[in-house]
Amino acid sequence: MENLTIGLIQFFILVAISPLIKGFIHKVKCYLRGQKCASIWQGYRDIYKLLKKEIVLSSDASWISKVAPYIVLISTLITASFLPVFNSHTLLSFTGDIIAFVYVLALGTFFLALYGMDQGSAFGGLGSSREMTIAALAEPALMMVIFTFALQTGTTNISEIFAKIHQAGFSQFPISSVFALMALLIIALAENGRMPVDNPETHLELTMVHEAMILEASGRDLALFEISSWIKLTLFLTLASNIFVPFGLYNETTFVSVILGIVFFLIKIFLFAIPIALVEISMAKLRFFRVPDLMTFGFVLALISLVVYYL
Amino acid sequence: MTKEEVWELLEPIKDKIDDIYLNSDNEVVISFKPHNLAPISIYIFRDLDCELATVVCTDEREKDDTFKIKYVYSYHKKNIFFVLQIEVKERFISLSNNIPALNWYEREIHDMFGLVPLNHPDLRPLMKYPENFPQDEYPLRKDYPWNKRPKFMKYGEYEYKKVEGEGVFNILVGPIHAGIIEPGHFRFHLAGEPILQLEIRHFWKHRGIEKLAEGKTPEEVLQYTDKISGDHSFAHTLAYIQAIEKLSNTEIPERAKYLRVIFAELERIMCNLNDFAWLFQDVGYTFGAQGVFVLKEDIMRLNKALSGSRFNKGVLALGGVNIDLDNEKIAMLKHKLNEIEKKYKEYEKILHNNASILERLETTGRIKYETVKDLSAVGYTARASGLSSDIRKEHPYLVYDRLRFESIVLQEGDVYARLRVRLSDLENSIWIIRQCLANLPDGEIKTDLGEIKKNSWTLGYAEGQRGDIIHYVQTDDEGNIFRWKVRDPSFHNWQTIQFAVLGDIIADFPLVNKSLNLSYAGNDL
Repeated sequence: MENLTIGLIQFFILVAISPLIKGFIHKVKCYLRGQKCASIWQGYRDIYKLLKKEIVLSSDASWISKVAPYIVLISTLITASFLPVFNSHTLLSFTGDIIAFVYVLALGTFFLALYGMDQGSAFGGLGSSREMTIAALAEPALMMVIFTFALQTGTTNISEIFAKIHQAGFSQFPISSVFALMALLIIALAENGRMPVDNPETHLELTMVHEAMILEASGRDLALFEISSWIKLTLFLTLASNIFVPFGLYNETTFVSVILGIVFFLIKIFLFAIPIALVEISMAKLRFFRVPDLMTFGFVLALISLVVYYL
Repeated sequence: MTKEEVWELLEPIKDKIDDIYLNSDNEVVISFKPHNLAPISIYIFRDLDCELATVVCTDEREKDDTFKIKYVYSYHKKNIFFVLQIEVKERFISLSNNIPALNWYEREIHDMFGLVPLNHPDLRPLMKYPENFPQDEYPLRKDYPWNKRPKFMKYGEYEYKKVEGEGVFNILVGPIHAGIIEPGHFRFHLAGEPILQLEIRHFWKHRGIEKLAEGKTPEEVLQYTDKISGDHSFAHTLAYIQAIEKLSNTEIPERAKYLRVIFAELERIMCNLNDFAWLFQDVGYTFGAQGVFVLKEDIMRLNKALSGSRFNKGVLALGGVNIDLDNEKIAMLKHKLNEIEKKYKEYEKILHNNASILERLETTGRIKYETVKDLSAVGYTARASGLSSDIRKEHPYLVYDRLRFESIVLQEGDVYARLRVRLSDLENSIWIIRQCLANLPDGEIKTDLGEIKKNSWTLGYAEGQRGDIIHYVQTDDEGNIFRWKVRDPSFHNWQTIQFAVLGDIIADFPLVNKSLNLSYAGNDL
């Protein structure tokens, strides 16, 4: 019962802070550019506003357009319930391991791409084709990073991987993790439609990837897509922060340790959000045909981390 | 310019020419038999290496029952405009196949005057939309009332070009866009990401400015000139005013000339900073974009402090300027310019040193020399592709012949080259303003306008930031406007975009478009 409660708390915290993370990254960028900026809570307001609005759906849309927002959200929520946030007790980690984590997320991406094409608008199809290209390239690199940790810890269960890493703490921090961290950063940028792969702030439809697919979405559908993408970003940040800063009372279940765990987690995740803002502010977007080069670079880094582990 | 010098230039086609006369200091009108139009035009355009400046059609049926078409070519090596005039009743020979720059002009004349260019390669309506305008009515004819509203209904269909084949698909963009920009329709034919063909369709918001001016006094037309193209309000007004001053033989005071140059260059700086910022924005480098937008805002506030208008509207007057710069304002201008230049240098350094930005700009949107030459492109578009084009140098006006400045020409023709031309222009503008401030003479800033010549015409021109702006003004029996033809640089440069995107992928189109940064409003009067 206690474990279930902790699992639920973890799940809700992850979902609840995701608009805040998005707002925080935006705030950091605005600060660095010297701009005044929307409040850090803007994400919550956006979702609230969108949920109240009606859905406008193209008359050419099939059932896919109706179900895709829910499938995308549900697949993201399922992965969120796999992932230990600040404690090893999660809601669903007994049902799936880290490989399932990757592929349940991919199911969401798949339906997002279908949604982009379903309404027959020119930009949607363009976005879907680009998203699939990027996703297909990011996937092997992500798997490679995961294998590194699975081999290190001898398990593919995320809870156990995290547990073992936290047990070891900083004392045995393997050099291979440095490469894996770099690879994971690149993959996270690509998978979440951030610069330099995709520009989340642009209004130019022809250059969009993620935004192009959801151009036709409105009202509740758009709210679901937005919250899903924010949760996905939070998932990657959580994954990275837990693997690379194994700090916090991860394996204890007392009340105090849970509270402290939450505090540590929040500090870690905000720290990990800053590099994303920094990359976005200091680089131009890549040419689309350069993205494969970047993804290859990510893959090679992941491969090096795997090789270094065996040395 | 003497007649002998002109005859020397025209030596090889001497036998085809009946006579030449000078309409003003630099406007050489060539008279010839109608069938010689093609060889003379081709000689002037190809062999003399002239650029097409503008083509003006006038409805003079009341006088002699004909329409007149004037082809104006600008000669770069000497300060000459060649004007070829033909008289037309219903049909005339199309020269678009030999001089592609004439393509849109001939279509315009076909739409607006109902004259048919024979053998034109593409005679679809250009600005008269069959979707809501009757095709057998011709708005610029004198017997068409300016306030006539045709019934709003469908009169026909516009045929778009087709590209077919396996895996070829279309993306239609606009005329309504996501950003706050004007309407324009872009049709991409793609095979995957690479662009096979781009077709543009503009003229969605034709305002009938030229028609509105007819019959009005030259002062009354001033209210339209600064609304032709928003960010070029000063340059357009300057071009128009210079035409009127030429027609009335008015020599404006020296101080007014210098002040006009200062304000014209301030506008150029503002536009160049704006383009610089937008190119940063469109490659996703928002840090640089925000910084340069701040500089642009600084210039606009400086304008406001100097003249009371952020766009320097209302500075120009017939016969001089309305705004004088006192010592306090001059000190402020100097101080602000130094400040802006210093900050601008920082961003320029970032541009040249950031590999990720250069990687986006280089080789993107390449326009060949042949393209800009054939289409008589102007401004930075031409100069980035190896064609020199700067009316301040070719046909100096105001005091530009006394100022030292550079108008660089690059060969690459890509987005980066166009940006570098702009940045060089920006630095030269600052330099020009400093020279003007150093040499600013004392005295009057305004003089009375002389009497305007009746039944005559002339050209007024000014270099805007996008290229040269040419205004043709013709007066009627009472000295009012008979025909006013405005040629914005965008009218020539829009056609180059269809060639600029070839070989690029669709994701880079917004960048190519921004690197040309053309005016929709100036194009569509």
